[in-house]
Amino acid sequence: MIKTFHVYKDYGARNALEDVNISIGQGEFVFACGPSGAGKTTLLRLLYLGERPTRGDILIDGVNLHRVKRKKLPFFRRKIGVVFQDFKLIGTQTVFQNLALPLEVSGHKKNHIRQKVCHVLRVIGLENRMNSFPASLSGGEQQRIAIARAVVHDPLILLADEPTGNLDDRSAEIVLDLLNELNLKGTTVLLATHDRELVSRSGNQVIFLNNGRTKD
Amino acid sequence: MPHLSFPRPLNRALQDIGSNGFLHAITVAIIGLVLLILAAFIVIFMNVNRIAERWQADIRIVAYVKEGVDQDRIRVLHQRIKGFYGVNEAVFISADEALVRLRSQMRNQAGVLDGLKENPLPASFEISLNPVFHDRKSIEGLAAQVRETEDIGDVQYGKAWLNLFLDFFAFFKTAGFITGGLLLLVAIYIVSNTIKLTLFARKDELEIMQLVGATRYFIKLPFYIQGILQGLAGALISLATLYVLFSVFVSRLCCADLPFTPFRVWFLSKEMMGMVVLLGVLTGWVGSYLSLRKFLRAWI
Ligand SMILES: Nc1ncnc2c1ncn2[C@@H]1O[C@H](COP(=O)(O)OP(=O)(O)OP(=O)(O)O)[C@@H](O)[C@H]1O
Ligand SMILES: [Mg+2]
Repeated sequence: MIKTFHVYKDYGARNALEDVNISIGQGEFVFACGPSGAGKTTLLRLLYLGERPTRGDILIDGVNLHRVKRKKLPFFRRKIGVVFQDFKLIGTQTVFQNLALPLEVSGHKKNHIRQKVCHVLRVIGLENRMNSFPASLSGGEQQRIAIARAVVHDPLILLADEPTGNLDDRSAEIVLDLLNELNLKGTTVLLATHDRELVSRSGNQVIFLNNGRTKD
Repeated sequence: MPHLSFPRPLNRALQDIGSNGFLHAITVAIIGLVLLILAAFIVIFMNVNRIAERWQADIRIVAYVKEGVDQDRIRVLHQRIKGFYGVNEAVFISADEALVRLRSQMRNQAGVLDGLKENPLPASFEISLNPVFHDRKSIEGLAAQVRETEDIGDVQYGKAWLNLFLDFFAFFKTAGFITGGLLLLVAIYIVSNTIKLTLFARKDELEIMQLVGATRYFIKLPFYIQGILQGLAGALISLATLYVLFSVFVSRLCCADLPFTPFRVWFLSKEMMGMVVLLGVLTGWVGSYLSLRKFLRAWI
């Protein structure tokens, strides 16, 4: 489902990623683990085409990302759900509007959108906040909204950047359960975290990243 | 939650306008002003054109027959002149008739003519033109042609002041349209700036939208709608204002007892009003297009 071949990403003189080769099969739940600055966010950004790699090839769902032209980009992104490390919620819109966005952009009917959004809100336990603005929510609540937005359109692949970073153990547990549940339904999950304990507890496959390089 | 009563892009556009009302109002006012000036130009041109046309329609070419040309040759001459391309009618005025006319024109002073032993006036043809030939070039062309004709002495046509007026009017028209074009560019620039400000205010939001799979079209549409609504509003305001000004001005004009022949002053035709609206919409559209093109170019 996700494959990278000798992927490099330079920011000026600095190499954020160097010779990264990973392979994640369909339906797998994989962790990307490494310290701060290791290149986790950069890797995810390349996978959802927020940026293009300096060198190397990336295959997603059988498509080489070099072949995804600008016009096709939106349609490519609809296959993927991303939980951004900084959430990227729209501050001027309500929780409901934020969650409706991924469905609206692909032209779903209002009724369908309403149903879907209410459903994910129930799952993350925030259905009573759907008319709030993101700024009025706690960090953990915002994080859950960010997760909800990433999955509301049933993506093939879920890329989650530190989705438990702002949560206490109990909430983190709930989020992991939610992601596991999605994974059981067939979604391929790649979760980036610096939390080694979380990784070892889960027993899932892990990609270790350090200084932009993978190691075993 | 706010219920979406309009299609979403329109709703977004209206939200933007609402949340930044003052800026949008100013933009609309400026578009309105520009279009008002332009439309006023058009009204003036149209009416002046109509008057000028009327004056030109009265223009006749007078061709004086040389002295000593006999009846037969005059008849032949008459036929020839009638046959010229563009001639509507050619009326022969004999020397005697000319004298009678002069007398009646001079009325009280006609006595000075009694002292004449001989009629000093030449016979002439008064040539009127087909309506399609009322423009200056055709008149000049035909006059030249008549002048070349055998047995014709002098040819007179038109009025010097009318030519002067037409020259001035043509200049005025060109200047008017250039000014109008420049003003439109200014309007476009202002629309594009307003949209740009909105774009920057929503920068993060737009970026997020494209990250969750919004097409450029989806992102752009509300801004096009904003621009077009601004143009539309500006155009309607300009037409309404112009109509009010026009009514006031025309009612004054009618009471003023003007020296020239009474004529109707025309407002813009439906087509012209449509043109003004179209121009407004186009201004808005181009304005949004320019700012969007620059703004979205930065993305992957
Ligand atoms: N846009 C950028 N411009 C310049 N350097 C960048 C940019 N993005 C990332 N980097 C650099 O690339 C390296 C990897 O960054 P990245 O954000 O991928 O780390 P990370 O593993 O996500 O860290 P964290 O756990 O703190 O989020 C860092 O040294 C960072 O400074
Ligand atoms: Mg990171």
